[in-house]
Amino acid sequence: MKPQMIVTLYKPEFIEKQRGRLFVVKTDDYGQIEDISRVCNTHNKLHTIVLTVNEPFSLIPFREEWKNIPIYLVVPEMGSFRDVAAKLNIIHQFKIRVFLNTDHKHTYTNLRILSSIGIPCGIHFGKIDPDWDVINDLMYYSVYGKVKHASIEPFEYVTSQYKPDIYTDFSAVYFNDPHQSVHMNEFGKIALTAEDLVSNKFITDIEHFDSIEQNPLYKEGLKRWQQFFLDNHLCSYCPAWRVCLGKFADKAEVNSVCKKFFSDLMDAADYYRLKQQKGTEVWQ
Amino acid sequence: MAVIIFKPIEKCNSNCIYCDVVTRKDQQAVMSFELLEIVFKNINEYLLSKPDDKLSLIWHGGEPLLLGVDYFKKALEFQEKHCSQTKNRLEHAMQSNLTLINQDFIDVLKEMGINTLGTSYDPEPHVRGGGADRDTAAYNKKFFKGLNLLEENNIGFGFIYVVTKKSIQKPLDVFHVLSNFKLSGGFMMNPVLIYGDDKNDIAITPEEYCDFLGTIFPYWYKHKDRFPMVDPFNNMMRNVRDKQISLGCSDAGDCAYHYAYIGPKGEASQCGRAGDWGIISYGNIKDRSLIDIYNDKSRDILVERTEMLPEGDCKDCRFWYICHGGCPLDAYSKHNEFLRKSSWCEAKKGFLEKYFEPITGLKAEQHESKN
Repeated sequence: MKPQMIVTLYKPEFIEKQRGRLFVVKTDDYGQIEDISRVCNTHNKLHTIVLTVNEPFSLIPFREEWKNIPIYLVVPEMGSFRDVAAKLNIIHQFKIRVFLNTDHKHTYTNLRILSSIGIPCGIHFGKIDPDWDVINDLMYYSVYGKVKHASIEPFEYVTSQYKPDIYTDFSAVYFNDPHQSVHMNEFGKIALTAEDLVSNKFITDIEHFDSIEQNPLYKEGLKRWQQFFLDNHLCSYCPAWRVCLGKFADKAEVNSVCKKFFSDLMDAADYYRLKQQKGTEVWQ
Repeated sequence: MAVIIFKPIEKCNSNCIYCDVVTRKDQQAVMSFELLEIVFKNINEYLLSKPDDKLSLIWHGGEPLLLGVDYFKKALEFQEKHCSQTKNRLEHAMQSNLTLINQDFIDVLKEMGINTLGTSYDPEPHVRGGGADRDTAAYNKKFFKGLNLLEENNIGFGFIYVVTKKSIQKPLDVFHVLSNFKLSGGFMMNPVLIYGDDKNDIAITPEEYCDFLGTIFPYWYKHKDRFPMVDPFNNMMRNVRDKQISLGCSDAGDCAYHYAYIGPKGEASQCGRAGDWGIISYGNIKDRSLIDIYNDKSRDILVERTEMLPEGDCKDCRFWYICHGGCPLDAYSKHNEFLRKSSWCEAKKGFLEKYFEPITGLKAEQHESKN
């Protein structure tokens, strides 16, 4: 199956030349949001804008015009709750998901707050080792919490997409699963992942995107998970491999706490799946 | 259905630690085309004599793909020539290590009607691979390449994992890596079977195998929706809970009626293991028809075994209906006679009594099969 989305920085002259493509556009300038939406939706389609800024969520100057534009907002922290609460009415009208960085000490609490006030949100994994116990608490809240709340990624993705007989790659949440999206640089060169793009590991270019599923490098790239088995890596022995796929492999040797978290996440996914199968009870 | 374990080649490009075919057998022997043609003539004759029967020809080895693509094309040619009336009742299957598979092989396998292959897998270094030291890295690289090619061609696979002394201390780790490797299941954990010297020091006892399975079983049972088709668990559930009796050759108690082995020089015997071990010989396909081979008087001992065991070793055993005394060859390898129960009885019985029944709350009792 061919990936549907092309993830790229905002280069209007390039996007305008394309036809019928689905774009995820990355920017760090909220002044560009309306422009990106207009340019992408002219001959192509905008899937999402990934807006990464260094300001707290509370300080983002939301505009009415963003209402129908899907935005993934990546910010370091939530900021002042009072400021967020003041903008809640307008934020609720947006197609927005807020990602907070795990390097910030209050992130997990703040994600719970955002979720509880109905703002879809998610974890943005930072440079510091995440606190898996706290992430686990957050996951329990997200999946098992009975009080109505907005979804938290990547828990939402894993629990809703999980099927026992296929790998569940939550990289998709971050537009980094090559089954669904590929990354393009300003010259139209295509890489499988964001990391490959940074390392200049290209597999083809935009002219050949339509036949990418035939590309041997693309096909090979989809099988990267097999390297864990070829290396007899510790992660391949993990009970939760199928929902993690070794994303934290560099830490796995010394830090097996991720195993506990991802195992619990799998149980949550099973719980969610069974719940979906059973349907809603009358009393619910 | 008649099942022929067909080994036109004993040679293998791997030196798997748990396999003694390559050391026990004459590796140079490859079935000639003349003999191959005789096999297909015989198959046709057999199927004509049994209009309601089918025959499964399981290409085995050694490594069957070492025969080369042309060998299989020749087989198809002989099938076309000699089995034009019966070929719709002839099914091909194959057990391969997949390290040699390529698109040419895939094309010919498809022509043979093979859409699933049997293979084996072991993640441990120095268990599978070529050379005295078993180069697992090189082997597994080719193995995964083969798997990817199967996937591209919509050909499925199932695999066997052989439990040895190397894995006995870490059952759950083994289970996780196997189920991670193939999420949809379709694998079987079998004990290593040693006939003669345990030169690689890998033998395990039935009790060890029982506890190996028993350590995995609670986890599997708790998450059984997550791990479909993991055997022997799935099969036991079918037999005991669903009452749909489906037994393999070791447990069915009727292998005398269905199985035959044909080796590279045309030698025939009861099954693949009998052929490997050089026991229960039925002569040679060059001068005996398949009909004769299936009617060979030497099979009577196996029939007698199934009749006799319920009054002997298996008297009053409530698991008889799903075991039938186990594989006669296992009995022979321990007692030097066939009219005894398998030495692996303790593994199966022990697992059912110690783990399966207490954990599931099910009781293994004889019943009318729903099949």
